[in-house]
Amino acid sequence: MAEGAAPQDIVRMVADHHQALYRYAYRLTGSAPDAEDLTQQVFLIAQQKSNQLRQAECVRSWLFTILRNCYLKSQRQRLLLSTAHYDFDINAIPEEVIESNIDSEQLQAAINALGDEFKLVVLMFYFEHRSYRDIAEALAVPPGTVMSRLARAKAHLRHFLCEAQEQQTIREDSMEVNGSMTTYRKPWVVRR
Amino acid sequence: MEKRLIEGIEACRPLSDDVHWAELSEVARGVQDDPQTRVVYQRIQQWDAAVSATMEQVPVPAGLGDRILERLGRGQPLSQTQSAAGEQSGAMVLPWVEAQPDGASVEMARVAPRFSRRQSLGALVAALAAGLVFAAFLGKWLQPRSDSSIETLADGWQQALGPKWQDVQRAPRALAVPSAIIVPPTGWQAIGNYSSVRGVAYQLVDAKGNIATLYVVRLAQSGLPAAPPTAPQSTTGNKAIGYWQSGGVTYVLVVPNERSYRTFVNASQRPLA
Repeated sequence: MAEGAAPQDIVRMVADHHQALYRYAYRLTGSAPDAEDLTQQVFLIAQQKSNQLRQAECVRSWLFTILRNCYLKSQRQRLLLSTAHYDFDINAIPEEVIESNIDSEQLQAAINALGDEFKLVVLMFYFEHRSYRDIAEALAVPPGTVMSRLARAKAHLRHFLCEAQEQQTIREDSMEVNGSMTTYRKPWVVRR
Repeated sequence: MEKRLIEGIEACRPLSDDVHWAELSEVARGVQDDPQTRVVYQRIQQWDAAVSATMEQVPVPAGLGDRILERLGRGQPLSQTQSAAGEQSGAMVLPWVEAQPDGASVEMARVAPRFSRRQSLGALVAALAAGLVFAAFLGKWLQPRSDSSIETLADGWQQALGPKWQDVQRAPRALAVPSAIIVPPTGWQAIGNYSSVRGVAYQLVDAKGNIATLYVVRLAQSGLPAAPPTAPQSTTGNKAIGYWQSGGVTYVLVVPNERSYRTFVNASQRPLA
């Protein structure tokens, strides 16, 4: 191979980062097979273009960037959907929330319902822990646009998750009436 | 509440000091002076921390790393390397992983990823069976992999530490310093972007001026002691690292040397599990 990472570099890169990339890919695509394909594609490109990696300590961020670009490329043919406007509602945010209050699969369903321009911002914020400044720079959009998209997308996630939980509660109530409560699992118990 | 203020609050990352940025001064003022804004800010921070942690709850398919390497033409199974992230699947040596010429493997990855995955599923069953036997014999031996992962993570967190420490009174209560730490913290900061693990770092300075760092992180790691160990699990030339897990939180204490370890922590006297 004329160019690309040294064998040990790419092995190390896969060892250190494939899990995080897969999780990111899953959150983007909402599908396990697509996430695996996307993860593989990222490492293929990383191997071929490793000479573009200037700082070794930035490898994770570099891989995430490749992943986002691959994803966007694959989505180019699809119609982008804009998220509906959701007004800010303090009541949509629980007073006390811990990690186990949020169902991972319902969260994924909420992400799937977002248009790509919102999905990317949300994942860069929550998964990559990037600031809105960084996100704006990486996506080449004004910071105000990122803030607006972030606020709308987060309101959507809360609305979606609260609604899902309400529906679940109604179902639980009706099942309790029928006496079959013991066989039903609460939706906010995180599936691991 | 004004849209601009809400967008500013929503833009602050959980467990960060983003609110102190100049362009978010309106948010900082609101949090300081207005009880309603403070409640909104705190609730959103808490919610965001929970969403952020839930984001990472995605099970990774067994053997994924090996399949990737296979398609990259690197027939070296990950079990022969060290994964900083801590391989969930156990990184078994998979029987179908063989070295291939670079060009051929790259081409295969382009045209037939799903075919290869079907192949992988069949082989995975055999690999899992082999893995169970392997783990039964080497269960104890596998444990150090987790330990070394924590050390690798701690190294990364140390390097990513910023110079600015925040007021301890404003540290997140959900990630507080445990009672076993006997030196009061002098400051805290969110851990950097080295890994996807969420948590905070506390700076500790003992009476002799030795500086230690305590990481309080949300990290799922099995086999850790439930109390601080009597001696650090890892010591190198210039630092010692002790770690334990309690109440869903992992504590990693990095001290300058083994001798100073006990000045920072009231370690358990009972034998470790």
